[in-house]
Amino acid sequence: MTAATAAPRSVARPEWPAALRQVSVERPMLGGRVGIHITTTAEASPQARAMATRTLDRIEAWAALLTRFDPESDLSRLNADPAASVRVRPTLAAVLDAGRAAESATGGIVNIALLDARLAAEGLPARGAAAAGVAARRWSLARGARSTSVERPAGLRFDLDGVAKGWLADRALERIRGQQVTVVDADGDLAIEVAPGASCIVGVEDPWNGHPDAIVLRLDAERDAGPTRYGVATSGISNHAWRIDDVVTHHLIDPRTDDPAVTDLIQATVIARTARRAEAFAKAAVILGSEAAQDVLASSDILGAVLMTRDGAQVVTSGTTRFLA
Amino acid sequence: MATQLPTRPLPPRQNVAAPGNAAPVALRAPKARPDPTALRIGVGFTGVAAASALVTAFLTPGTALPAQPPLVQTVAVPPQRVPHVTRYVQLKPGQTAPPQAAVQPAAVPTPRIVTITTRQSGTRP
Repeated sequence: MTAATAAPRSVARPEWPAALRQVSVERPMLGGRVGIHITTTAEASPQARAMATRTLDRIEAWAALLTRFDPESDLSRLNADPAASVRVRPTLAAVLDAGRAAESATGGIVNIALLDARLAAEGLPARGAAAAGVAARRWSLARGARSTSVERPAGLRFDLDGVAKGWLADRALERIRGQQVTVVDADGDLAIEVAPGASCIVGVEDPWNGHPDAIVLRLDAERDAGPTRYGVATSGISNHAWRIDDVVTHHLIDPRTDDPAVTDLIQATVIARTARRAEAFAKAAVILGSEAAQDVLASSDILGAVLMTRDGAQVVTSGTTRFLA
Repeated sequence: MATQLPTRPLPPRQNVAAPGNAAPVALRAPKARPDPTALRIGVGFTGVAAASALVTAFLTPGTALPAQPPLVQTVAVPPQRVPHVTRYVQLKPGQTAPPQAAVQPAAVPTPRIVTITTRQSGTRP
């Protein structure tokens, strides 16, 4: 290269990504729809599709252990067991542990030991433990060298609900690494990994009319950083509400009353680093209501939240604006 | 009175049948000749083609001949060095910039975007 009077200038241009494609595999599951969406190169898309299919198979196998609607599931066997100490297998133990973490992070607002209270709210047969209060719902996991046991008051039953979905999304995402963008959609609870320089657009469904983007969030990954993970979850009371004796009620139980929460929020969406975290705080926000929720969310480690009130207002917490597209 | 001069006898005729009782002479078969029809047809077509070419040449408008290129006179010139200044180099993947180069970052490529929706979940598990 010949030097001139002026210093030569070089243009460094990073290698442009090859043609990218989005591979999407979806399946009815968890009482809704579970999907895996991978953005990758055209050459790698067949392998990505196979990986997504295998991961969906894995999610289905995990979900079969965690559902309360199958009497043969691990969860159903635990709930049916009259003993106070019951050994559980690793998958159920891991999700129970996630439930314990959610309860701790939200000050007890998220509680997975409220099955009977929920059944009672739905007008379905429930055991007496529903009325026993917080003290009677204390339970723990005893981890041994080779096994894990649930220690609980006899008769206490569990409903994993959204905790299981957040756990499934996060766990499935761990199996799919190194793609441009990967989204595991566990029926609305999202676990996302974004490669440096890439973005993921997340629309928040409108609770009033089902429109897919009442609010649009943009999740980026810094160009100089490694892959960035996000969890996005939405909880609310508009999808699963029913009328009993002319009273409209819903499925989110307030552990302080054992009744459906009295709240001014119809829906809450939370952005966090994991789907488990996002799901826990989204549910807690709806149960707490807008005023108390803002205090709890502000003191937590979440990244942002969008709260929608019954009267149609949208409340965006501080820190969320950088995600608004 | 006319005097008849002695004449030299003529040579005998060849292959001529002698009148009277002359012995028959075997005749040679006529030589086979090729059929001239094909050649005549070919010549006919050639003539038609030649006439057509001539008519076309007469009726076609004339075209000017290309101008004669000017003569180039080659003159011996002493060799000169032309300075080539490299101001910009686009680095390929894996290449590094020269030591004194000012590196200018490339434009930001279009981000890869995936769109998905978060929503309230179903009722199970």
